[in-house]
Amino acid sequence: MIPIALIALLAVGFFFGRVELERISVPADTLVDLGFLPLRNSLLATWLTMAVLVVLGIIATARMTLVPRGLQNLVELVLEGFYGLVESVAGPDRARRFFPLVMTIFLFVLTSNWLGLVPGFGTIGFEKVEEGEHHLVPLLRAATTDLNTTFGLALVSVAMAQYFGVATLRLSYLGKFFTLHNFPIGTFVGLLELISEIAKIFSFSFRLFGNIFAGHVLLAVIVFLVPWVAALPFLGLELFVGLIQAFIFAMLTLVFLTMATIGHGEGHEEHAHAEAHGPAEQHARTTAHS
Amino acid sequence: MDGMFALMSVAGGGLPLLAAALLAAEEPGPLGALGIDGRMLIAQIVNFAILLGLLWAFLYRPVLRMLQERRERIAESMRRAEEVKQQLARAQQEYEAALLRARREAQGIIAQANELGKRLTDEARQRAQAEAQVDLDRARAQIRLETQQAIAKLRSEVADLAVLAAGRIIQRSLDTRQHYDLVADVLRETEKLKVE
Repeated sequence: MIPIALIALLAVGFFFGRVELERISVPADTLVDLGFLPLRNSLLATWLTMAVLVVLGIIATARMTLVPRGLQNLVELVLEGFYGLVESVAGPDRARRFFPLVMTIFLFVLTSNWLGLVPGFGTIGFEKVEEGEHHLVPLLRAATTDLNTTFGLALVSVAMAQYFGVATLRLSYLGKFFTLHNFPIGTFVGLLELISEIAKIFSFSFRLFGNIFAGHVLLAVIVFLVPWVAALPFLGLELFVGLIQAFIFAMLTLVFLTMATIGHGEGHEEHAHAEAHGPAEQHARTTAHS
Repeated sequence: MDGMFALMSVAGGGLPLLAAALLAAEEPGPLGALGIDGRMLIAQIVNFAILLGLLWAFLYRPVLRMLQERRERIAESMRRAEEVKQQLARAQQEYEAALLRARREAQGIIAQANELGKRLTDEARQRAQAEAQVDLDRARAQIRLETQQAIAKLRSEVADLAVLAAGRIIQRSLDTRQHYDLVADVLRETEKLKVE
């Protein structure tokens, strides 16, 4: 019954439900330029995302009980799971410092990715005439499909890695980039590290922007080709992509933060520690890893 | 406290880079074509910092505190359960020890009582036997005495009888034959008495 109904819907949609191809533009549209701030649809979505998260947080923690119920249970599950993850990567001491940043990145990116899939995002707006052409300016556009958002997040992530690096290792952190140790090669590798640090900003921002923006383009094209039903599996796919991208952004931030706070000395120490133990122990370690 | 720390560090770490981005993106160029706008960039970083602060205050801190509290509670109750278990085991041991001791004591008491009872019955029996013996002896002595008295009394009576019989014989005129017979009879009778 259901497959037949779906096929019927597909056919009806195909013949009678034709829609225009959504206008695809890389920059988010500015609704009103306030001078000090261009009020863009992606900025509205950002505020919506923040509001959703904060309200959810307040509701979940409004009446906390020792025996958790409902939303509190879910929130605790997510936070505890993530805290455990951060702890396993960064260790218990660093976990306390890194957790808020990593968790917020994950929650913000995930929520804005998923909110962008809610019907109405990108489709509700007003007509605008530009160079004699009518087109729709959507009121809301997923925050992560604006390069400013992803670029800003990437800046925060990389800047925080530098901050934690300097805060933990003091001046020796800068020795990672500027060094005369092993003069020609070591110095060159240090400069490469510096470049890779800057490159991280771009890889972070374009990976997230590219994935989510492409997802929206894909959905727009599918809806243009087969207006009804066909986009459903792709919506599911985009839900998944949104989750994965949020997770990747958060995890990479966590890893970079952790790496920035591990000095050269510490790494060597661990190495020497491993060598000090017998081969049996090393074997146990490799089996444990595999 | 930690939230403020994180907030300040976001601002402290992000602002210099931000300023650079702002300068680079002020005039429309390739970055402008991609939608990069310095003001928007600052807005998003500030938004993120605000979100981080709010989530810290309203979500992470209470939830993490609750998780910590629950962990402590669970550890505490586990510890208490362990204590109770140990106490129970100790009480059980003590109870069993007391039971064993009581049983042993009871057995001792019973054995003692048995012994005492046996001794008492033995003593009673011996005393009874002794008393009986005494009674018996006394009765025998009494009998012997009475017998001797009876015999003595009889003898005197026999003598009287003999005198009487002799008197009668004398009064009557008897022949010698009769006389002898009579005396012989009396003598036989007394002889018999003596034997008895």
